[in-house]
Amino acid sequence: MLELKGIGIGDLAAEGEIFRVSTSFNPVSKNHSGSVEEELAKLNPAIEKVTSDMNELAQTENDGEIFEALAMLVSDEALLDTAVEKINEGLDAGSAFHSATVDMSEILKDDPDFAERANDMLDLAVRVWAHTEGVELGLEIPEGKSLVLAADDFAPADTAKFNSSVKGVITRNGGPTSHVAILCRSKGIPAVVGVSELDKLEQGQQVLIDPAGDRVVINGAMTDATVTMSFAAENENTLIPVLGNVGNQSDAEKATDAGANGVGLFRTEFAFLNQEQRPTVEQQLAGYLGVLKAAPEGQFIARTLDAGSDKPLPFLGIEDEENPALGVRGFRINDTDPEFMIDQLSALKMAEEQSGKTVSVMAPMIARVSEAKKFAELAKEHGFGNVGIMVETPSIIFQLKHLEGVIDFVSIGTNDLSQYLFAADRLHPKLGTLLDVWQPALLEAIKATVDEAHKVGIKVGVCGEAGSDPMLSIVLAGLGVDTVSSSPSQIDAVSNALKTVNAEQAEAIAMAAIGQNRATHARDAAKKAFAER
Amino acid sequence: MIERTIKVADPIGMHARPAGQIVKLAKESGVSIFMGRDLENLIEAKSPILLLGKKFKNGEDLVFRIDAEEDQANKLLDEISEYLGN
Repeated sequence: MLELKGIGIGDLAAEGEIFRVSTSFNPVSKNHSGSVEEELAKLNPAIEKVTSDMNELAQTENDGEIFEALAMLVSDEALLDTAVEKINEGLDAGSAFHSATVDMSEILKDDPDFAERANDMLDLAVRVWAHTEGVELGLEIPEGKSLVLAADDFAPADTAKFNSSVKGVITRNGGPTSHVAILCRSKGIPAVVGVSELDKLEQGQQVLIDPAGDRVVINGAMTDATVTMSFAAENENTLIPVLGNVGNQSDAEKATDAGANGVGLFRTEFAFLNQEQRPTVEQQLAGYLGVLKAAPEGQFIARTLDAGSDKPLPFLGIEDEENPALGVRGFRINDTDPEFMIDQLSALKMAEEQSGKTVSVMAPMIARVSEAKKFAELAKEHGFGNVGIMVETPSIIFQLKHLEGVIDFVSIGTNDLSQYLFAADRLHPKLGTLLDVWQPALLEAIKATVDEAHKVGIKVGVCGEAGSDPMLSIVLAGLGVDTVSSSPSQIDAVSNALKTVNAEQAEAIAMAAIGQNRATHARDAAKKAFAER
Repeated sequence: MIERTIKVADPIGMHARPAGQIVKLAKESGVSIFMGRDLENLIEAKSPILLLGKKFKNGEDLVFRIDAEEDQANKLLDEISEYLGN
């Protein structure tokens, strides 16, 4: 049995047959051997097909306007004229269209506002080229099968097409916080990312995807799966409340079904991520109200807009940046666009009143005391009684002592806190181990946050991916964290884990983990202390 | 022949969608629409990509010239103004 190593996402293993998805088609430019007419007879239907595919997506997808614009670019007359010239010079249909696109996209490339469109055009040209050669590029997953998808990476448009046949996902690129990893975790699909030997997988091959063992086993079966620690609930109540992370109404429903004690993170930007136009207060209210009504009883923490040039919103007009993670994101947008925050707080307040539930608000990317004070002032002006900030930048941990009476709670976003603590891009395919939630330095940073916050009467929650790891949730409780907030699919597992220990046991387990100097040792020490409790 | 100056009000400039809409408008109305930063440098709106290549930014004043009757031209110019975020 051959096994390929990667980074596992999720705990449960699954079997299935490999479904290789070619998200890249790398043909070689060549001359045609027939007539110009024959090449045009291949090119025109290929352009028409891609145009109609884009127009179809424009009708069905949320961000339809983007696809409408792409349809206009691929059917551009000047582009076709250039391609026809190249066919006349000898190139075949696909090569000519691609070469024409490369030429024309050059005029867009030097400008950051349009460079993205240049990349889109090249992608469209490859699609047209594939059609001229009869190759199917679009992701179409057969229904009623047990498949393990394997590809270099999956674009958001691809993940939108995952259906019930998808039992597992393998990618060559991406770390534990990549787009596909987060999607798989929220849908409960086992995944192994960062598999450098992806090419060893063959179409139709039977594999075991074993995320708990950080591996894919060729010809493996469920009996080979790594045994994961399962927690059998012993107590009636969880040691600390388990809340849910939600982005939309369906997440909120799942959190309610899983018995969450509330919502620890409502990502408000998901309500308008794909809109080109600025959402009005009324539109925001409608979106928020749907989520609030579906949310479990208990506290409900809404995070204000968390966007930046890495998570762009067209209507904010954020410029491209060299280092988006270190740029104008989250609360920093308030400096240039204060109106958005006011609209958001107004809409959230109205949603609170109409739903009858209590809403707490918090702001992301707070690095200084002055920013926390500014946000708290705004939130209180809008009538919010329970106000908090995210702890993502290490700087704010050292300043919590100045926030007594200013804020009521903090919520640790472990994904971004790891990124800034370790100076490791959270989407970098090679830096996954630095972002391991068991890194002892991250645990120390969480402990320091708890200690500093509790001294001045501020409550502490954890809402990053760390809050979705059952064993780690025990460690967090042991460090003094007041609440954890998990992906809806993990609420059950985290709740069970937190029903197996009392406060003293959790503290002992946390101390065993935090005393280590490697992530793997911290994880093993916690497991050992748990077994010996 | 009607001329009008229209400001690009869209915060991200004249991006792919408005460029495509202007070309589509010209095609569907069968009227030639010329546009540019000044009267000396007008191009005919036939290709969204070539229009994008001009990189018209937010706040820029663009000159449009339409070879049509006043009523029709004004109607088209009103539409264009809307595409540009006005």
